[in-house]
Amino acid sequence: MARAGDRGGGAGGLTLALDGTPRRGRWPLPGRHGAVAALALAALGLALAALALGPVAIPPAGVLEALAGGADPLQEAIVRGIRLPRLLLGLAVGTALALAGGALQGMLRNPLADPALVGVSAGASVGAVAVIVLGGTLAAGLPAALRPYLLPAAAFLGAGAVIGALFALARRAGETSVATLILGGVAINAIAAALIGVLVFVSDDEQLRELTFWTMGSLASGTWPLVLVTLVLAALTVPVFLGAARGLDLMQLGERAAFHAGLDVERLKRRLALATAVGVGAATAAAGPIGFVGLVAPHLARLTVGPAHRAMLPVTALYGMVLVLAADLAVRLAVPPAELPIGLATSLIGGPFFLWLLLRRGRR
Amino acid sequence: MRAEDLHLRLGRSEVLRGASLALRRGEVMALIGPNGAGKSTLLACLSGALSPDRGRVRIDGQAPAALGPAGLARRRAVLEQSPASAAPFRLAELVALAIPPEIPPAEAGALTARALAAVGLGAFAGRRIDRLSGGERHRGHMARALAQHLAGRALGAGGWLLLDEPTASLDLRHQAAVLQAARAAAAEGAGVLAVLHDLSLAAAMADRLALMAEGRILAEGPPAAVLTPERLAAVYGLPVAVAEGPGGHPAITPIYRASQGDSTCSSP
Repeated sequence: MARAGDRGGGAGGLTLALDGTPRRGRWPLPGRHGAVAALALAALGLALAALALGPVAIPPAGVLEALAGGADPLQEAIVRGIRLPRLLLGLAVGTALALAGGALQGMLRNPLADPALVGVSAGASVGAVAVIVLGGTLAAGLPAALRPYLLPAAAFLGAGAVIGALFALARRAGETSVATLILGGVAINAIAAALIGVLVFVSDDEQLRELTFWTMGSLASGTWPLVLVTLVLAALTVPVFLGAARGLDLMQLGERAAFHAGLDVERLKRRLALATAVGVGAATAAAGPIGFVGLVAPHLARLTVGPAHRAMLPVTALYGMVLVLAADLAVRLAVPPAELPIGLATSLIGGPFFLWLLLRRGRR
Repeated sequence: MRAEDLHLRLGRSEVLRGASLALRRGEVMALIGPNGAGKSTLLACLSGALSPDRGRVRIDGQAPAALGPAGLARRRAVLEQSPASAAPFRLAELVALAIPPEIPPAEAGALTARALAAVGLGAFAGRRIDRLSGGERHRGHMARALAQHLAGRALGAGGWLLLDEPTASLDLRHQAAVLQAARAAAAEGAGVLAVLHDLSLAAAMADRLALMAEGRILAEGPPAAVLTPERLAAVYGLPVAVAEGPGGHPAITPIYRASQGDSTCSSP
């Protein structure tokens, strides 16, 4: 009897392991549409909540009045001056990080690629911290209109350098193995941490304060000029990412086969590297390093609509917005009026998710 | 489509040493030869994926580099040696990937269905490729190459099919099915070049054979002329019997000799 039980348990376990993967692929089309509609509704609801909730709760009607103008001046100041830029920053950051993650995963044919894990965010951080610490004199020489761009520009350069290194690694290895990529990320993150350490060492008290807050990551620093710059840069990357859908699909067959099917592989790589550097650079400059959004959002999108990038990329962007807005809301409401770093919330969701992915791959 | 005196060095080894080949429209040519002879490299040069150090490739009279990736894709379709997809597409999605965006969706759907039917996978269009058997998946990739070829024809170019080991990992019936699909494409005017390892299959299905060894084409012509016992024995390093097979095509049988240690069990 014990033997029969063992057999049953073994078979049950096997069925489960085998079933875990196929079930989501079989979702019928109406279900997919329903899921995407629910996701869009969630994004909308979170956006409203982001405007309404906080130390001062404002009812939805008050939010709308404040947006339209002509409401209570305090409410108007809170909604328009604080929460609206913060919301827009969240949308831009979520979109940029999620799409960059989706594109990196597609380009490297590796579902574990994430701007933060592989070091792109760290590269952006080095650029941003360098500006915070060393940029004072540089910024003084710039016209006031250009100053908001200095931080994103430096972050872009840092992110771009890392992506260049990653793609070189990918080209050398043909099909980049998970190990190469993650170990490369470890090395890049270590180098970046060392560089940031040096910058911290040479910074004065005020700079130290500023960069400590920046490193913790937050949407709260969203002043209008910075938010607008981030919004514009993130918006510029969106058509590049969405336009690469067919190319990213073809890349799943390998670079040689993608070329055979008519794809200009090098051109696609250059465009996506540029868009990723701009998107991650802008997001990191404005909100600090935020991990795991670029990992989790594309995965959830694939679970929802399948692997074809034409449908998967827009849904990835939606998931990115929902994740960042939800994380921001969580850190805002957890211990009011204090705020936790937003990276805490995304890592709390993303860390276990990443472990689950690793375990699942290991089983195969 | 022609290759003229191609030389190519990859790393330290000289893979191509003066390989020349001319492929005509309407014919199936099989490229045969031992492992490491340079067959796949020659195919990659013809497809434009590799450029030779010396010598030149012409596709419809033009150099591959001048045509660009999209122009090449309209003129020639390629089945890679070990095709694989990192993403679990549905079979119809996989096949449709190779159809350029200039083809309207309805027509692309029809081409996909036609390509899938040609390799006997018409009923599998909605299946996820990671749920298919190895042979089904391989035929799926063959359908992808066929769909690209058909799309090229629909766009007024098309005409060349390059297949690197299209019968690998297929059972007898499906080996025949895939090569019949290639023959059907040739009957409609395509020039097909297929790397094959089964010499009897190559002799039965190809109009001409090209025997390759050490980076050169050693012999080229109708199967019976190329497949002589002496030549095959020299190239493959194994005695070979050539008989007349059922369809009048040469049938090749290697003569295996078990090594001495296997036959008897003697103790010292």
